[in-house]
Amino acid sequence: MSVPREDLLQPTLTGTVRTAAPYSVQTTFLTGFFGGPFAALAILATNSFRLRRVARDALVWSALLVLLAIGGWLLFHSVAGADVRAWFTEQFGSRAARFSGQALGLAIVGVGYLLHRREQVNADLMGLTRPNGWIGGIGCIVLGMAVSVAFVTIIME
Amino acid sequence: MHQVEVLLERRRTSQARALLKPALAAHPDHSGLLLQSAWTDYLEDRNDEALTTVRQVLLAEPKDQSARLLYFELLLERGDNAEAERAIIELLRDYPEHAHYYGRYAQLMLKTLNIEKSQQLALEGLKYDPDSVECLAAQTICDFIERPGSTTSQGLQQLLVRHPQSLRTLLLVVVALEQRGDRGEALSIARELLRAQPDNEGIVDMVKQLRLVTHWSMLPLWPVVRFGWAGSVAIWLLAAVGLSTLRRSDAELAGTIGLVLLAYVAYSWIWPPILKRLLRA
Repeated sequence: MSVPREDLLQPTLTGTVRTAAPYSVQTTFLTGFFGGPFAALAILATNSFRLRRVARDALVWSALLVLLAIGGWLLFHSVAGADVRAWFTEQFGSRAARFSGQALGLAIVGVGYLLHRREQVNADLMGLTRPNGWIGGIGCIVLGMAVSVAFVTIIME
Repeated sequence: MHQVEVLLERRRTSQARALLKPALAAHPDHSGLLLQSAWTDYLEDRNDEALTTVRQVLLAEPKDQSARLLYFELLLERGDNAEAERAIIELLRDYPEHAHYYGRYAQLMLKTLNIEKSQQLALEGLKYDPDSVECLAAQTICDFIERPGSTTSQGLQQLLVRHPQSLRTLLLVVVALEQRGDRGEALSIARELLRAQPDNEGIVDMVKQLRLVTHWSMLPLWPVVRFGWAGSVAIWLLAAVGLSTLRRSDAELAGTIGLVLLAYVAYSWIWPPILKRLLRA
């Protein structure tokens, strides 16, 4: 009789904190679209917690947050930033701020999808129950908008 | 008891129950009969009754292989995943060459988003039985997760060679076709499966979903159906950039196109849920 690999027979589902299905791609998409970059980051981080991937993903969120902070600061405190703002305003008029927020939000949603693609497909294929997207999504949108307002206020001072 | 076993294998649960009833009345504590009654309940989705009975059996016969497997299946159905894992690990320790148990454990790992371990368990089980449907199915799902839309799933190829008539195989073929974008073909196979198993809710939902995405009224939403949210992003980006450019040369036309796009977005949000309600499998 052969012996099975011992590592395979070690329990995986122990402890009180267990892996849970992530918010759906639809929820993350709409959160990023309506809430902007900070809302997209919030739902990405929430999914990392649900999937118990915090250690693996924290570097990515941190990098995105630092990029947003530096990019935002440069946008209002550098010549190149002023040129970019002028170009955006020329192209999109009064919609420039909203459009750039949506674009950044969706870009972060894309990064989140690349990080959690396997888990999203796994959850779809196994028909796992997703968390309520309305509660999580609206919560992240409100949080993201509040952070955006505070962020813009600080960098424009 | 042998007769009941044969009936349960063929899922003729009402006939099995009819045979079990007088036998259990005469021998109410007979572990074998109780276990068959628990399997009958399980096959009829009466999981609470099945769990109560199988616990009673396990008190008398804690090492009974069939009772332990049923206990695992019932825990899995209840979503008691940690206890289910404990049960299947104990089974594997006692029967380490039983590929079916590796396959079931691999399915539990997929249900709990542990993809790597699921892959390893499926491969380990296939070492003992390269024909194991459970292990090949788990391997196929892992392939679909790693490479959605790919036609080179080794697990699926093996299932088609070794178990071409199995419901599991055909369901996975439907998933493979759908992932690849061949929704019409996927619907044809799913309809055949529904004819064979009209009461299977999973297949009914699958057919409904495939009918929805292949319906003629969904044709305008093709980019969204085919490319998912990436398609939505592309449409939004094209609309935002295109309309901004057009607005500078012809504001009126840009306004009209903007309204058409708004109607398109509203259609994509409102129509699919209505159609889903209207469609029958």
